[in-house]
Amino acid sequence: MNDVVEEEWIEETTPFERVYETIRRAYDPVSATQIADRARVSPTTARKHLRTLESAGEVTTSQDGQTTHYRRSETAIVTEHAQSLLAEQTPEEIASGIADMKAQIQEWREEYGVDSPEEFARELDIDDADSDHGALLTEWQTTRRNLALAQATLAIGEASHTGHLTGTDTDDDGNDGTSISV
Amino acid sequence: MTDDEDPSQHTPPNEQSGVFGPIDAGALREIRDLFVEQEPLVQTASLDDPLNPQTLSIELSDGVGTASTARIDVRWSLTGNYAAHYTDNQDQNFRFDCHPKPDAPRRHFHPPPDAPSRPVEPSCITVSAVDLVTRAILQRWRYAYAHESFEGINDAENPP
Repeated sequence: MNDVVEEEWIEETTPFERVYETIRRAYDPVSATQIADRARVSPTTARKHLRTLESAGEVTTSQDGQTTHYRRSETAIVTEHAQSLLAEQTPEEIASGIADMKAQIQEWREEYGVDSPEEFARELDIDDADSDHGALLTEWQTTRRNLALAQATLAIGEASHTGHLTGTDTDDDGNDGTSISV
Repeated sequence: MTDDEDPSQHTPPNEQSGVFGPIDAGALREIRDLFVEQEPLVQTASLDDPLNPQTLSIELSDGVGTASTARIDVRWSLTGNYAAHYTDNQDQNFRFDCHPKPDAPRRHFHPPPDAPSRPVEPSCITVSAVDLVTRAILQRWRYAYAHESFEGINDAENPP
């Protein structure tokens, strides 16, 4: 079954798509050889596509001795998330979601008398992800990440709306005093 | 970090016992799209909260055996841990999981009919990439659906 799904994947995708899919979920640095192995391509092919993805800003590299390590760039993570959110949500909905996430985190801090999910994990000595406390730990860590991503998305959304990133003036030029010229 | 600094153990920080890791919203969207593309019985596939998703729920228009509807709930973490929970209107359940669990293999299976927290079995899913795990879960669900039974659902070999 495991071989069958791998064959199916290789049949339905191009080598580039497989390298991209693999690096998309690589949040920790990995070598081109490891990427090649996972994506079922040669190391040469992996390096070629990784270089392309690096110039597109999707991938960032670090050096470990002679070996180059690759991982998904923070910019790419934020951009992908912002695109999906802005396609489905209005800036008002995102702002109200941000307020909800902040309130939720504050509630957990007060309820458990800790500042962070890490402190929560230490204090409660959580040893099973399947337990109620294990599930809450994941929820807290997730909410903290999604809050940061939603805040970045809102900033991107506002910048695109005002046209300040592209130089396109979608709004008035500020003469009516409602916006500030920069 | 942890107190036991046994160098032979060499546990990466994100594989501490009990830690599932934060949910990867991007991975959930990728799994959602793959389910919709690959499985004709999918009715809806949606994230529980668009801004702060914790779970992807896939509603199926038929279930295993006498069940007439079913749902698969999927969670996927930034650290590559996952949980895929099948449940249907006959209250039959199974789960393919991958996360640290005390006294259990990282990749484990919670068997039907009630998918208890313990005991678990080693999972037959050995691939680890999002795309491959999703395809493997679909493959096992399809196997049970076609055979109208959960018999052998975690006994997959190559080829099945």
